[in-house]
Amino acid sequence: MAVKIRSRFFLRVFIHFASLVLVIMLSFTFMMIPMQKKALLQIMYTQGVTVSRSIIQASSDAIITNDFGFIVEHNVEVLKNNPSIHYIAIAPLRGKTIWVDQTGWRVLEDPISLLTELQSEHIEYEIEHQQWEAEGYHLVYPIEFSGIKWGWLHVDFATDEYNAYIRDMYLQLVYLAGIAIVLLMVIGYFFARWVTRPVSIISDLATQVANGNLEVQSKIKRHDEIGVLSNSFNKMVQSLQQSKQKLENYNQQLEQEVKKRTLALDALNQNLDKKVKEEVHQRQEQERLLIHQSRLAAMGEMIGAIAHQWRQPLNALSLVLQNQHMNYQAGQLNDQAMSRSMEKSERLINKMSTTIDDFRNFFKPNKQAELFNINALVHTTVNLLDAQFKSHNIEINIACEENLNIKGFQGEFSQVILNLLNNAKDILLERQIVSPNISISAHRIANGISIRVSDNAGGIPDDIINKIYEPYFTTKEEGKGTGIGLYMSKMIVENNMMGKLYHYNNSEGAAFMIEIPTQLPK
Amino acid sequence: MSITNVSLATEDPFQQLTLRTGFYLQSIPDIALADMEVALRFWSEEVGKHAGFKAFITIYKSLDQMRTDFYQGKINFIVSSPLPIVDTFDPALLADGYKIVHSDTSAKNQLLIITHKNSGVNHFKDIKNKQLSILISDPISEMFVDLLSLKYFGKQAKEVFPNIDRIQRSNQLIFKLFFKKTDLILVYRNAYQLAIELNPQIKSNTRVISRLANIPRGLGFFHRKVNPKFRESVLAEMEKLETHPRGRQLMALFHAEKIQRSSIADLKTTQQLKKKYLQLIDRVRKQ
Repeated sequence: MAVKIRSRFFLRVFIHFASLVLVIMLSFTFMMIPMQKKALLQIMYTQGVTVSRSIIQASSDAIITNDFGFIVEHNVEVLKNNPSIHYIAIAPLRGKTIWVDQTGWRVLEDPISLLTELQSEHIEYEIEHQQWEAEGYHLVYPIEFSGIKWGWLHVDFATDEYNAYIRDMYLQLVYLAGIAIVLLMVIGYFFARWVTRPVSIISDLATQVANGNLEVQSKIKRHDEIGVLSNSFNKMVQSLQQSKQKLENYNQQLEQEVKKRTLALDALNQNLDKKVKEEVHQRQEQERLLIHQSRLAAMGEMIGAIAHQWRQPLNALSLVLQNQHMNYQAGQLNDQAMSRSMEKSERLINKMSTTIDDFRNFFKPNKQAELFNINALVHTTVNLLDAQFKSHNIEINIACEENLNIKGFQGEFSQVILNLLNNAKDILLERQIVSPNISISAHRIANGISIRVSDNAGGIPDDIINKIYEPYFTTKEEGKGTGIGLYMSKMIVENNMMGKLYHYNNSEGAAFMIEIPTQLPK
Repeated sequence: MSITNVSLATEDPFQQLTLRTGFYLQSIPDIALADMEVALRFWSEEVGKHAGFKAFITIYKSLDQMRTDFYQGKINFIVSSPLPIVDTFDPALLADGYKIVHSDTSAKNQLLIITHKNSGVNHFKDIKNKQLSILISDPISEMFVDLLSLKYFGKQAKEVFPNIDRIQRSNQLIFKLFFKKTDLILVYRNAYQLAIELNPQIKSNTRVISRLANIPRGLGFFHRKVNPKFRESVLAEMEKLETHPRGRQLMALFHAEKIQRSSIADLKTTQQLKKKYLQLIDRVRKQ
């Protein structure tokens, strides 16, 4: 790239110099040509006048005595000795014109217009080439003796010499132009080199400096602007060297400072790492504790639920026992009654046993993700609380699509649904809603399943709506809520199942939305 | 006048094998003396050098001197117009030489009497009181005009023409006639033809009223005593003159077309003319 730039600079200087000299040379040439032509014409004019005077002088006696024989003889001799004269014509004022040319002579019976047109009181001339075969310089010289006009002498010279001279001049100009162009190329080259070389050298050095080499020095010693530029360049390089040295020193100081700081940071990092690990451990412990608390809370809740579940079969079993006792007292405890009581008792005990199994399954930890049906899970979970809902007249509406299967940890997800149902039940009871109801719906959405749990308890107050997922945040009375249910639910949905748990208030109450992907991401 | 010294190394000068030409100047009036001297000197030197013999030339204004030198052997070759040769030299001493001719046909070697067409002269009989112009030193012209004057008027020309204008060159005579400065001129045919070539108007404005044929313009003869072999070798070179650049230049000077071998017979017309002229003179004197 640098070479191209230098070449362009060199070419530009060379072309400008060559153009300038060429223009001057051409201008000079175009001025010279007309001047040369004019000078040649002047020479021809002088030659014509001299020859005419000579002829007239030599023939003066013959002209005065009208000795045309002598005039012809003399002019024939003149033409013989001057091949460059085409013709000589003597035109008397009165009388016929005598014409002498290189082939002979004659008396012109009728005057030729070319001759008569130019005849005047003064010497006239014209370059003509139409009437005669060869181009000629025609000069008309008036003949006078003692102020008396006698006639005119016409002399026509060949312009061959003139044309040859002009041709030679053009040829010489062409040669000169050729030589000048060659010289121009050579001189122009050296001139352009002389002008551009130092600039190119400095440009090269500048490029080296730009590439980081600050050891270069310009050796150009001249007493002109280039010399000043060279000195300035050297000073600039020295200045850059000093700056670079300063920068390097500063860099060393900085590096030392950075090392110090790095060591300090390393020490700090080590402490920080330790602290982070401790914090993480604490947090893990806390979470574990939270989970444990959550499980305990859930178990508490479950125990309450079991109590509710068992209350009715226990009452029925009590009634069976009371009826059997009454039959016994009445002596009516027969086989049939006994058999009926035993069958009923066994059914009630089985129901209670089933309840126990349900709760045990609910708390059984899932070690591996498995495919489960949302509709079945929702019904199972609702059944766990069914006794409580019924005892408080809470209406449960389930509208789940069939075949909504997801792969995940079924127990954890049941706990989420259970939390949401318990929270809804608690707020419905707390606010003593007249016709309490809880709606559960589930349907397929793009890339997953959406489950909605809503109530008609009036919604979450605005002042706490953004705090409900914080751990240990609860609005329930002390002893009734731990404040970790929603926190755990959000963690299960969003961390373990890669879904989303959010809520909003509608016209009746609060609605919690669970959106989970059908397949857990790998 | 001698321009070259001829050395006589042997006792008999005729036996010297050198070409020693004597040239009678007034026989060729049209040519300037200076041109003639230069041309002849170069010619003799170069032709001699080319042919392998020495050549010298002497130009004479006096025929008597020329005759004396010829008889003594100072010169062994003479060149002149025919009448001076007939008048001056003994034909018995002359051997073959060369002649200048203007054409192959002897008819063109004519002396013409010419008038202007508007002069009213159609025959020599009509020339009374007319202006006559002739060449300044041409004895033939003088004798021819004399002869015609004696024939038609019984008088010599000087009595028929009160003023005979004698002019140096033929073309001047023709110019005078063309521009009506004279009525009658005598010129050789080659000069007239040349003038017509230069200006055809001359032919249409002039008329030939009489002519004398077979008059060679110039002739050269060896002395009979010159070695015949040498004579032949010189004549052989002369006939090749037109092939030589300097020879062509010399021929151009004499307005000659050819150089041919001449013999005593070429003097016959001149001898007859002179004889007739002498008879007429004699007749007039007797009357």
